[in-house]
Amino acid sequence: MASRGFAIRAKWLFPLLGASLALTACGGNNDKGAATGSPSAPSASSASESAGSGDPTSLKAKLTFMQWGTQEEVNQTKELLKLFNAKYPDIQVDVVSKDWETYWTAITAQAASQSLPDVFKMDEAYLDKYAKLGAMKDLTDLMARNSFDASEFEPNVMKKLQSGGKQYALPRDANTIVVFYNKKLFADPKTNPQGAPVPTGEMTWDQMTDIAKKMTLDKSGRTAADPGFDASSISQWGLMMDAAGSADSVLESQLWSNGAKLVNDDESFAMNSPEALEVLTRFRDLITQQHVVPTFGQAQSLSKDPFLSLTTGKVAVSFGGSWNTSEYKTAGIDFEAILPPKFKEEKTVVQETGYAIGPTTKEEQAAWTLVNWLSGPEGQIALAEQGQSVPANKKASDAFLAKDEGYDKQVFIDSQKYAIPVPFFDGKEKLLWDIIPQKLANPLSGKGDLQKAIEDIQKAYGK
Amino acid sequence: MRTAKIVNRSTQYLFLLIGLLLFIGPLLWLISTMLKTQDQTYVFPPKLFPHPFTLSAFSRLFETMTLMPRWILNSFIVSGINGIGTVLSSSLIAFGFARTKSRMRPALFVIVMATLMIPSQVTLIPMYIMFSKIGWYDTWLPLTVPVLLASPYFIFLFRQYFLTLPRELDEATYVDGGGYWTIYRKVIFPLSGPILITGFIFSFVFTWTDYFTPLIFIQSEKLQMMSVGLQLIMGKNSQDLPMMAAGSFLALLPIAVIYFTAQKYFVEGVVMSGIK
Repeated sequence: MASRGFAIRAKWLFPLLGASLALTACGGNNDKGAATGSPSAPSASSASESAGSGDPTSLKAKLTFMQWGTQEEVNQTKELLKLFNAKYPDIQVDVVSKDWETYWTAITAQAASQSLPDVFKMDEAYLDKYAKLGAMKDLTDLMARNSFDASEFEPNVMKKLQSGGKQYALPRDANTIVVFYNKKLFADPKTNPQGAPVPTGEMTWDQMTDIAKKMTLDKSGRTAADPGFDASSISQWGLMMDAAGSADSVLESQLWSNGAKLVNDDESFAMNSPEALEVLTRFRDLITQQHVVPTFGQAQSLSKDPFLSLTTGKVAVSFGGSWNTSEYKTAGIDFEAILPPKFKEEKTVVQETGYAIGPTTKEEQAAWTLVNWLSGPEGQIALAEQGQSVPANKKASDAFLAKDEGYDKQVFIDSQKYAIPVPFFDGKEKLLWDIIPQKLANPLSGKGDLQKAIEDIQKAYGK
Repeated sequence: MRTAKIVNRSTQYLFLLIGLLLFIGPLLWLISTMLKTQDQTYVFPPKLFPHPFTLSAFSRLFETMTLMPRWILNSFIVSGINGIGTVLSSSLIAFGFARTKSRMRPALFVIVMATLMIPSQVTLIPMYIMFSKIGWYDTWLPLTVPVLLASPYFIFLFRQYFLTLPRELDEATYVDGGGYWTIYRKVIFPLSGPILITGFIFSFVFTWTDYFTPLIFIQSEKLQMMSVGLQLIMGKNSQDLPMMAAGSFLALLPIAVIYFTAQKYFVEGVVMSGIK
């Protein structure tokens, strides 16, 4: 009986083996078929000899470049690389793209398995964190060896991509937060019955509030400055600002504008000052007293991204990023850009990205050549001409301004001067993107005590 | 009596209607968005009926994402391999658990089932390191091979079904001189159509909608799957909602087609005994 059982088992084992072999072969074949023309593993892709010495234009290498963003942004990067290849024809660059959220998961996993791409995009917000993880090559030496000209950048722009005094990435773009207004709403007496003047750059918050009051309308057409204004049926908002959700882009610079800070240089919490409370109280009153700024819930129902609320045509003035202009145009909004209002001093935020080199790259010289070109005048002017990003290199600002797009682009360049010099550090992104949006949204909308919210934020932040 | 019946029926239909609206609402919204121009998606309050109708989102999709047809094909190939592979490999193992005699069988079955409790997130980094060390990173192998080696979920599903098939069929095969392989190939497999097709569909859909595995293991854009490709429509700060909706609609389509064509097998999920 036992022997019979074994015989039977052995018999059906053969086809099983056969089947699984056939399946694996089938999988492998398909894989090879699809992979034609694109050698796969990154280790294999960089296994080519580099000319190394002498003329960098004769460098031969294959690099992987990773970035976050849409297919459109990938296409733009490929355009830049075409120009790069015109000069360095033998450095082949493969572009890999992931969306913003998962990009960082991928970087973490690849850092752990030491398979990071040769060159990848880095955001200032995560630079410190990944520098500490050893996910980027320290560029300080390479810069000195290749006599990199740091004077082409504002000192603050370079500094934002440093950690512990070492340069880990070279600047790509420096996008800024400004204020936009809808020109049409101001021009039309129906949407501007009191004839409010258009806002100008560097206004005080009193001036801004006056304009916002005249531009906030209820259903019967009365403005927030009129007696009998019905705050429960607002159809047009004077100002859009989500100070809690936009802690990094709006709140922090406004704190600085009033002489307060979000965090001290030693990373300790600094929002528990009277000046900071003054800022928050003012912002709360704009919502609960003057009714010119929507509450968190009202803002969300207009647009999930408050910076895009201008596209609805129901908002007169709004904070926004330099990257939002293409969406405003698509939505058919006629807009103008100005510097944000101020408490005491004009302050803005610059959000920077850079190019980093993987610490385990086998093609250091080629990777440096690419990064250096992308951050240098040639790459930056090409980036500026695409018009999507504000270039970080000063030599490219003329090229950026040269393309007239119907609004004041100089504001984006000017605002770099007023940028608050605050480096990101590991843990600050949590404070800005998780803790403050959670704890401050309700108190700013009039639900809950501001002072207590500040204490809660400090407790959650823990420093 | 008759009015009671009418009332009964109407309440049934009322609940069905509510259910229908609940499920079809998001789909209608998707279709409406996909037929809008981009500026229409900014209109506040939003409108359900696009005016004018346009298919420009689709042309934008294929213009900016030149690799989209390739990604769709990739997803089809890998999902197909996984669908067929799951049916073959898991049914074999399920057959072993359902029909063979071994003292180790119950213990082995518990071990196989226990692996269901391990969250995939836990094994992610070891898997990633392992696959990149053996040179499988950026190939389709990590996407297909683990699936082809059978999965506990399908083993369980198939085993439960095989257990309902009468043993008399096995015995008849023995009498006629057949072994395990004949039983599996000629008796069990042909009689298990509905559950095997269900298994194929599940496995196909799991792979089709799997975002995480290709995201982690595939780097070259030519090898990428559609699920990850779709994400490239959404930027950190930009949005093209009609294009996103058009892409999602294309991703939905094959699943919808498969469900509609295979619907009768779900209904036929009643055990066919094989004995009159």
